Amino acid sequence: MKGKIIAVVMIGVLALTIFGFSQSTQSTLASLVTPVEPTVILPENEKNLNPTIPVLTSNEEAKAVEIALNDARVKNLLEGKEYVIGKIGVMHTSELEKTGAALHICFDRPYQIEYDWPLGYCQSEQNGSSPSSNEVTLHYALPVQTLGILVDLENGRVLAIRPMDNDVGR
Amino acid sequence: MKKTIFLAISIIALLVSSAIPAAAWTASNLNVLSIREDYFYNYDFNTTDSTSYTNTDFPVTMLFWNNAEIDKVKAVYISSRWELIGNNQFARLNDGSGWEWDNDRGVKTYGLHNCHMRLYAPGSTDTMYNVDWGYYILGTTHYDYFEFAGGWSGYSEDAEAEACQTARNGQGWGVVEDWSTFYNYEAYRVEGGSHIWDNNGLVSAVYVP
Repeated sequence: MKGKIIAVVMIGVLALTIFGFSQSTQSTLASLVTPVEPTVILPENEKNLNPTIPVLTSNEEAKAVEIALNDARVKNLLEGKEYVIGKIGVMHTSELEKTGAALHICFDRPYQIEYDWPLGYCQSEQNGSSPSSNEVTLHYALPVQTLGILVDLENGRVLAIRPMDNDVGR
Repeated sequence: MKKTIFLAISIIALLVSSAIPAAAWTASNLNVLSIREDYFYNYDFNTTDSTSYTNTDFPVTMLFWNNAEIDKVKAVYISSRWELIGNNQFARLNDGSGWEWDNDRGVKTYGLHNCHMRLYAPGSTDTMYNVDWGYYILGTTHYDYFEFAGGWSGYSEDAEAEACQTARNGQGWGVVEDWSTFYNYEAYRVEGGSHIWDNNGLVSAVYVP
């Protein structure tokens, strides 16, 4: 009996020693992988003062969701699938003019969806103006986890439906 | 069948790519950061013409530190099936001896949807040094979708996570995701229809042995 008690005590002491060593090692490793943080300083000159980016009002956000969910193409893509509305953000030109909204519709899992997926847009969009109807598409099947939707708030229409795979944009 | 589809996509992409000019974008939190005697901007730039917030590309999201060097880090990504491809962007850096520009095409994963990381340090040394971070380099991350067909690029935050995963899995490097603020938060927004901003402002630190 006495021998058993001594054995239990020794095991306890050993366990505490190992635990303590492990904690010490972990804190040493943590200090190794945590560099000193930088500080922010003033930009080189005044022209780097940052701009005011346009934002969506809560009404505009709600309107964007409504337009997206009422779009026939979006309805068709969502049919029979579980989804939630994800991020909602402003769409704007490089001159910081608000042109609409962008939102994510996130599925519960990836779905293989056959559709006329966009390959991109022509030059007008790349120059900073609103995306137009000159969309280049190709019909093929793609695993899609999230749809990126661009909405023209002024004219109440969906400008683009973009597929995203994996966890991008969620 | 899948290969045929992607070949078709690639051909269409190349056909429509010629009309797409390189573009600069509008950062909302461009700043200069300092660490010891070193300085750097917290975004990369589209050209070397200016360090204006209207000339930016993406926020800095990665810090490789301790014993990092451009080719050493790229080699790890290449061994994890990333490739050396992309167009040049530029970083404005000061390794304690004056401001200079560095350019990099970066490394990216395969496919028409790919993860792209550009790595920066002065070209003469391919690394920077201070006593706090040791030999270090900086990186920006984003995803490209059909970029050669005028598609869209962005989601720096998600791409940062993939770059971290590769560093961790490729060589077992110590990664602290979202380690510290680099003061470059970008709310989700779409600029010009094709540049998608999304960054939590926290850089990930990768310890390079």
